[in-house]
Amino acid sequence: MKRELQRIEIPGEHDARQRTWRVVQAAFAERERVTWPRRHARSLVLAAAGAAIVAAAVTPPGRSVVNSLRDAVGREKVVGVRPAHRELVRLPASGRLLLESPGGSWVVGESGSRRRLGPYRMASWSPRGLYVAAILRGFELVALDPKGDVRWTRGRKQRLAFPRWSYEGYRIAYLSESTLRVVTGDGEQDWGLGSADPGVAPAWRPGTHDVAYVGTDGDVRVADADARRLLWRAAVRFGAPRQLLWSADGSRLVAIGPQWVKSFDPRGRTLGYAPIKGYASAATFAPRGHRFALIVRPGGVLVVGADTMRFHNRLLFAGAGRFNGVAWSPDGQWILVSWPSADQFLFVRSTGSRHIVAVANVAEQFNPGARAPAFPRVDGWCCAS
Amino acid sequence: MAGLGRSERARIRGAQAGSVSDLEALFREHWPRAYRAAYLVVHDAAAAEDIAQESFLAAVRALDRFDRHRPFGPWLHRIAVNRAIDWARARAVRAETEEQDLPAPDPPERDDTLMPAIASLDPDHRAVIVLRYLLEYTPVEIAELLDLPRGTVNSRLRRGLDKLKGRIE
Repeated sequence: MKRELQRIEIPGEHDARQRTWRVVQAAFAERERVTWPRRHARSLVLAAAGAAIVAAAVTPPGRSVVNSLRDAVGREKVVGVRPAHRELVRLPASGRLLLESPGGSWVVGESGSRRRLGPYRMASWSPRGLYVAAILRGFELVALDPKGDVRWTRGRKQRLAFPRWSYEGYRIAYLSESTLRVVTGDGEQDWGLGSADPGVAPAWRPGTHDVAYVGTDGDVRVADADARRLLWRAAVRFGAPRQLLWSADGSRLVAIGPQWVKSFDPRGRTLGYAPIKGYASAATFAPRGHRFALIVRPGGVLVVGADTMRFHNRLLFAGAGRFNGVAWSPDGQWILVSWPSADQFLFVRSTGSRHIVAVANVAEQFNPGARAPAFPRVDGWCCAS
Repeated sequence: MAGLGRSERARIRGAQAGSVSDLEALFREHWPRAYRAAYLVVHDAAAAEDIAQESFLAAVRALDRFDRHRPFGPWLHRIAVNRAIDWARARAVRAETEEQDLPAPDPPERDDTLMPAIASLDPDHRAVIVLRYLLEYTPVEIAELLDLPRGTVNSRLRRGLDKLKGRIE
């Protein structure tokens, strides 16, 4: 019996062993590095205290930025923090933002100009930012341009969610209650692909018409949308994924669960897995490479390598309260973190020396006249000019 | 299984002191069996990888507190097999919803006679069979690992073997 049990071939055992050893080795190395901040604590505390005094003395929003420095000290060297701007004047990088407030979708230009598109929800950019797909009144899929002119609409009896464009704009995947559907970019043809978790947005693999989604059983699936064929499925554990994202080169698929992150190669083989202390709420891939930014509560924003899943000491920013969205600038230089607890957008430089630009009074800017303005959600940052 | 060689004790001590080579030796010795045990219980290679990985990460996190006079293997196997049972139970009760209009991917080719027979057992029976015949624990040790009465372990072993014989023959 023992011989028989040992003889059973397990597919990919050797690769699994190597992947696991890499993760275990990384975890072991992190365990050793615990003492690093203590050696540098004195200089970091002095630097952070200097920045805190300057920033806290000027504005209340500045104080909230600086409060977060307390958490950052000992983990990341944070420099260049200035008082928050009173309003969004200009984006630190090229491109346009797509935001959603209770009143609808907004486009923010590079100059800081704001345009309300209309009462749309769950908007997403087309690949080059020429169009936006969004949901109107829950049951209508709408394609419109960034000026707000509607190009086409498609209505369904089921509640719709999460329209997402394929890499060249010829397909839009969306959810019709718990069915994944695909419509051509001109809105002419529409077909169903299968049962899907209605709470997780589909994700197109760049350069293909393969779309990743979460099945109603919680498995990650990838289907060829044109051939209407399931390419692979993979089971995950400890709660269904909440978000799927592909790297820009289409060679990594990352599934984000409530307390874990898992990466796959394009054929569905697991590349890495990492449990998370806390609660993962949003993630976005860098426009190049295999790094992604991940929001974890409590904690902050982490930068994670999808190849190794090493991220324990790659904390980009830490702060008190809740972060609810993250977007990488098209040039890859900045990460936008939305921070409702402080009513701020934080633009954190992702390369070179750490630099943070904070913008305050965000909720009011996207809910003009509201008594208790709600903080907007970031739906995307597109595209390099 | 209860014996603990001096070399393993030395490796645990070395790993606690930060030696990567000692950790790697522990990994080489214990991961393959934890992974195989998890796979035989869950019948899903990706899930088995996660389970074995997470069990080993739990070991790394608790390394400083680990009593090096206790054997490492049973401790790791307890975590791995119990997690595998939880996973398999959750999988069994979760409704499988296949797409109506998408054909499923081709199943992997496999030519093992014992594998489908083990798959026909429920997770609790699979676990005791794996612990007894792959990892070679005694029924008393299995009872401790799974926190079960010894009689329950014996009856599961007997029923599991009966079902396996019926399937294989």
